[in-house]
Amino acid sequence: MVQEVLSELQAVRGVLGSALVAEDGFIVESQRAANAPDVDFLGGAAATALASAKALSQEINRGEVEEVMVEYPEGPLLLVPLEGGYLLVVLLESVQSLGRARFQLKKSIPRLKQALV
Amino acid sequence: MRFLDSLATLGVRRAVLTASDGLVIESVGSGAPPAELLAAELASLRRSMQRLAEGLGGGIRRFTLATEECEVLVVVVGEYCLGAVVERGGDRRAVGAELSRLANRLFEQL
Repeated sequence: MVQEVLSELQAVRGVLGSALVAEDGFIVESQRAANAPDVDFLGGAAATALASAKALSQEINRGEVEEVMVEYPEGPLLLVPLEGGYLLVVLLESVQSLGRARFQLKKSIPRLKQALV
Repeated sequence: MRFLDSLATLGVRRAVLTASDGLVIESVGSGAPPAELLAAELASLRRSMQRLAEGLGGGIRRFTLATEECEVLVVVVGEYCLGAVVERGGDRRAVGAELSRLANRLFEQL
């Protein structure tokens, strides 16, 4: 199920790679395009970044984190918290791909959450 | 006119300019979160993002954090962070554009 959802995400134009990451930073599943940076080594840093984002959200008392977007010169990276401390990391080609990726994520995230229960 | 005043007119709840030490250089807005808290948390978050950026072989331009009730938009200029808290339903596009404009101004001054 997880591989299937990541494959669907990977099929979206502009998605370079995606990974399901455990709370401790270990990669559960990942996929990437041939020319994309390796997302497998991003797990630990992504988990730490999301933990910092959750801390900020708690400190300002404005509800749970739904998504973190980080824009680098290489393109944006999305971090989406899932059930049980898991998170989804999606690396995109450019900010122009954000809309398409978020549209697909609206369908993918409920399925991933279901798979992780 | 202070540097961040233009953000107040866009309905921003709180905006801060901070450096990597997490201290407030300038702020606008009122109520929660306090500017000191937001600045310290943004500096901490930026350090975490930087580690992620190093994994991708680059630096950070900006980042956003969406929660159930608000969105935090942050633009990074050198060692400085310019961040704004926008309520859900606020004009985040206009705030994002204004943050980018202020970041360009800051970059020129640096």
